[in-house]
Amino acid sequence: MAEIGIDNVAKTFGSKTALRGVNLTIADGEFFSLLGPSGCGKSTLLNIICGLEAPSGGRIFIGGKDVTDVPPKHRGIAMVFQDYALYPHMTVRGNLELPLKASKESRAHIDRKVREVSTVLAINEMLDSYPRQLSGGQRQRVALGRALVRSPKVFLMDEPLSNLDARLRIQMRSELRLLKERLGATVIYVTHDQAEAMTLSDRLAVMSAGELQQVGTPIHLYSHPGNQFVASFLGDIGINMMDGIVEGGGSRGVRIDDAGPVLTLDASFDGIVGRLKKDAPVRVGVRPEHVQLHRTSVPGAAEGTVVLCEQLGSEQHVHVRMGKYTVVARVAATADFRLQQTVFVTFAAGALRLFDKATTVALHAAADTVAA
Amino acid sequence: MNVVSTDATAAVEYPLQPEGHRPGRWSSVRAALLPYAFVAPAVLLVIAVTGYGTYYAFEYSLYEATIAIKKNFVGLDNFRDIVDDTTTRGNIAVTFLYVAAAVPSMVGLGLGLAILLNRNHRFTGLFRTLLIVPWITSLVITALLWRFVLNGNLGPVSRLLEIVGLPNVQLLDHHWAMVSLVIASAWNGYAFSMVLLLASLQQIPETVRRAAQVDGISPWLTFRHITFPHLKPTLLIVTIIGSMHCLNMIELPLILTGGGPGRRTELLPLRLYREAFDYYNTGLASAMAVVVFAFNVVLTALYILSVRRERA
Amino acid sequence: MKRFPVFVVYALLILACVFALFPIAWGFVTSLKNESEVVAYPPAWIPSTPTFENYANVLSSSLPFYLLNSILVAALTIILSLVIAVHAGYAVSRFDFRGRSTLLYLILASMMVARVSNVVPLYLLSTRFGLLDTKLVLVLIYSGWQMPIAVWLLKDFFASVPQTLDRAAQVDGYGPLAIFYRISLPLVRPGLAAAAILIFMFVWNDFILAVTLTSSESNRMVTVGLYNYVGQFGIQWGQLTAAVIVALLPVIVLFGFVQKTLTQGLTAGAVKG
Repeated sequence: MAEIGIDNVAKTFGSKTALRGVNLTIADGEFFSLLGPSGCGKSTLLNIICGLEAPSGGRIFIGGKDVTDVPPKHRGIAMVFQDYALYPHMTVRGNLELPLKASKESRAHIDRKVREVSTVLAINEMLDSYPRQLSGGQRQRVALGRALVRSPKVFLMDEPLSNLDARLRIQMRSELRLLKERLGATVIYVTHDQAEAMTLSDRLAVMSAGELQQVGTPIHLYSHPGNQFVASFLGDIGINMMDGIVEGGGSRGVRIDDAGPVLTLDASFDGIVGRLKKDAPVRVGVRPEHVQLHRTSVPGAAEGTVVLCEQLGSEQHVHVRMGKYTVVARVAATADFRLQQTVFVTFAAGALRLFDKATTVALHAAADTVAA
Repeated sequence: MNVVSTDATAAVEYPLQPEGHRPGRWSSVRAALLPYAFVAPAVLLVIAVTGYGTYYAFEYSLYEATIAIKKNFVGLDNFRDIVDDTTTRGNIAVTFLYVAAAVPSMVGLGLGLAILLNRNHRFTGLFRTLLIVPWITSLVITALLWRFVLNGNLGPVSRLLEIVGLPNVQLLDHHWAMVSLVIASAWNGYAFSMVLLLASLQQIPETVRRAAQVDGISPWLTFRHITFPHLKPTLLIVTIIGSMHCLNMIELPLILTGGGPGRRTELLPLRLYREAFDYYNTGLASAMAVVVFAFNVVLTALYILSVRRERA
Repeated sequence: MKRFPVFVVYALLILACVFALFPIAWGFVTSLKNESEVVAYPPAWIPSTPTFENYANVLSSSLPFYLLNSILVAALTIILSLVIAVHAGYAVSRFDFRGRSTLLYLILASMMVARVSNVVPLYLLSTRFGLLDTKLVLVLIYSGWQMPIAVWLLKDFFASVPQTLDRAAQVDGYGPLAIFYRISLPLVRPGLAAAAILIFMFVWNDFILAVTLTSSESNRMVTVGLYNYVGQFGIQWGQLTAAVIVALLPVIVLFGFVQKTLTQGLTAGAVKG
C-alpha cells in the first residue's frame, strides 16, 4: 500500500509563506497531479513529500506510516527532476546503478535491474554513453530509468517533460501514462501545464499561493471549477469572463456590464436561484465551446462584431466584440466568418459559471462539493 | 478560498540556498556541524597567516623594535616619525605619483587592446596569446629585462633613440627613472586588465551591437552608451586591483632602479622593506606596514562596495 | 563596432606585440651573444656568432636546482591549498549556515590584505616558530595567501553545478559526504585546474616572501636566484639573460597548454560576484 497522506502541511521560508496548511490524500496506484503557476508551492510540496525539505508544520504519511522525519532514501520513493539531474560524469549505466549501489545491493541484483529497466525504456543501446551524448528524449528516459531501478512504491515527478520540445512532450506524455499503467505505482506529478495535468491524471489538485484551490478529476474541475482561478487556469484557451449583476429576488436575469446582454440562468441554477442576493455583482464565465454564433438574430441573443478568426485546422477560434468584452467562440473549422461581420451570440444551456465578485468563489459551489 | 496574485510567492519555490542537506528533523548535530568542519581549515590557515600577520604588524608598530626584539613601548611615536620625516613623506608622495601614472597606463592599454581584440578576425587568437605573455612574466624577470633593455650604455632603446636622432638620455636616471618604472609596470600589468575587459566585452550580446548598427547609431555613441556602461564595473575592479598591485610594489623599483636616483623611485613599500631588512627598524617598518595596510583597506572597501553593487 | 579599418587594427596589434615581446626577444638575443659582444656598443641586433656558452654556464650553475625548488614548493602549495579550499568552497556554495555571508566578505577582504604589510610580521612569526628558512613555511604562507582566491574560484565553480544533482543523489540514498566526493567534486575538475594554475603562477613569480624567509642555498627559489645575479660582481648580462630565458621557458610552455583555463579562472575569480 502506498497511500499518501498530507496532513496540514505548511512551509515558510523566512517571512515568506510557501504552503499554508495543505491537506490531501492520494490513493494507492493513483496518478495525481499538482497543477499551478510557478511559485504556487507545488514543487515545495513535492520536495516535502520527497523529504528534500522539511515542513514547517504538519505530517507526511506514506502507506500509513508517518515519514515526516524519515530521510528520502528510506521513504520508498523515487524522483524525476525537471532538468533530469543526470550525473554528467557518469555513463548511463553509472547513473542507473548509483541508487542501487547507494543502498548496497548485490552486483547480480544491480546488473539484473539495470538490464530490466533499460529494456523497458529502450535505452539498452546507450548504456555506455554519457548524458551529454544523448538527445533530450533519451535523457528523459534515463532519468525515468534511474527512478525505476529502485522499484519504488511512489514516483515523484517535477515537471519532467517541460524541457522537451512540443511534439516530443506529447509523445512522452502518452508513454509516461502507459508506463504508469504497467507499474501500477502511485505517481505524484508536478506541472504548470494544464494539458499535461488533464490528460495524465486520475485526479489533480490546482494550487495557487500556497493553497489547494480545488481537488478532483480533470473533467470535474474543468466543468465545475470551484473558483475563478481554477476556471481560468484550466482549458487550452481561457474561459470567457465578464462582469455582471445578478438581478436576484427570484429573478433569473443576469445583466452583463456596460449595457451588455441580459442572460437567463437555466435549470442548472435551480438550487441557488432562491438564495441569490438582489443586485449582487458577479463574474460570469463561459467556456469558448459553449459560445454559439448565429448569422441572424435569435431570441435572447446579443449582437457582436467579428474582430479576429484563428484557423487551427481542426477547429476555429472566432473573437467577437460585444460592448467592452471580446468573447472567444470555438467553432467548426469549416464555419465561414469574416472580419467586421455582425453575429448574434448565445450561450449553451448549462454553460454559465457564476463567481462571487468579491470572493471569486463559484456561486453553485454549494451544490457541487469541492472535494471529489 | 482566497486567490491572490500568482507572483506573490514566485521567489519561494527555489530559495537561494535550498536546505538540501538539512531535509528533515532527523538531521543530526553532525549534519549541522559539517559546513563548519569544511570551512574550518581554510579559516584557520587564513587567520594564522593573514590575520595574525596583520595583528603582529599593528602590535610592533607601537614599539621601538629590531628584528625579533621588542624593546620599548613607544605608543604612536613610530607614526609621528613617519609624519615628521620628510624622507617618508617623500616616499609617500612618490608612491602616489607612481600609482597615479602606472594604473591609468595599465588599464588604458588593457582597455585599448581589449577593444582591438574583441572582433573575430583571423589571428586575433594569436595576438591575444602573444599579448598575455608579459603578464605571466614575473616581476623579477620584468625588472631584469627592462633594466637591460633601458640600459643607457648597452641597451637597444638608447641605440634606437640615437638612430632616430634623439638625444641618448639615461633612461634609468634622473626624472626618466620614474618614467621607466611606469613603463615596466604597464608592460607587466596591462594584460590583466586586457583579459578581464575582453571577457566583459564578449558578454555584450552580438545582437545588441547589430541592433545599434541597424538603428544607425554611430560607433562612438555605441561605445559611449552601450559598451562603456557595460564595462564600467569591470573597469572599476581592474582599477582597484591595479592600484593595490602598484601600492604594494617592491620588486620593480628594487631591481630596476634601486629606488634611485636618490630616492626618486623609492616607493613606500620599498622603503618599508629596507627599514625592516637592511636597517632592522622593525618598529618603524611595522608602522609603515600599517600605513600601507590602511591604504589597502580603503581600496578593499571600494572593491567590496563595487562587487556588491554589481551583484545587486 | 566597425570603427577602424582592419589594417589599422592589425597595425596597432602588431605594434602592441612588438612592445610586449621586445624585452623577452632582446633577452633571448643577448643570451646567445658571447661575452664581448654583450657589452659592445652599439649593440648588435643579431649575434654575430651565436653561442650556447651562457646556457651551458647557467645549466651548470645552481639555477636548475632553484627551478626544482620552485616547482616543489609550488606543487606542495597547490596540493595543500586545493585540499583545504575545495572543502571551504563547497561549504559556502552549498550549505546555508550561520556566518556564511560574513565569511564570504572576510574572504573577499583577506584577498586584498597587502602582502607587503605582512612580510615583516611573517618573518617574525616564522622566527618564533623556528620555521625560518624552510620550504614548509613558504608552502604554509603561500597557501594562506592563495586560500581566499582559491575558495572564491571554487565556490563559483560549485555554484555552476546544478543543485538538482545534489537532490537527486540524496533521493538515491547518498549522504552529504558521498554527494560531495562522488558527485560534486568530479564535476569541478576544471575549477581545480584553474585554481592550481593561478597558485602555480603566484608561487613561481613570488619574490618578496622567498627572499625574506629563506636564506640558505638549499631553499632558494628561482626568483631569488635570478635576483642574486644582480648583486654579484657587476652584472653578467649574458648569463643573466640566459637564466631569465631558462626560468621563463617552463611558464611559457605551461601557458601554451593552459591559456584558456588560466584566463577563465582569472575571469571567474575576479569578475564574478
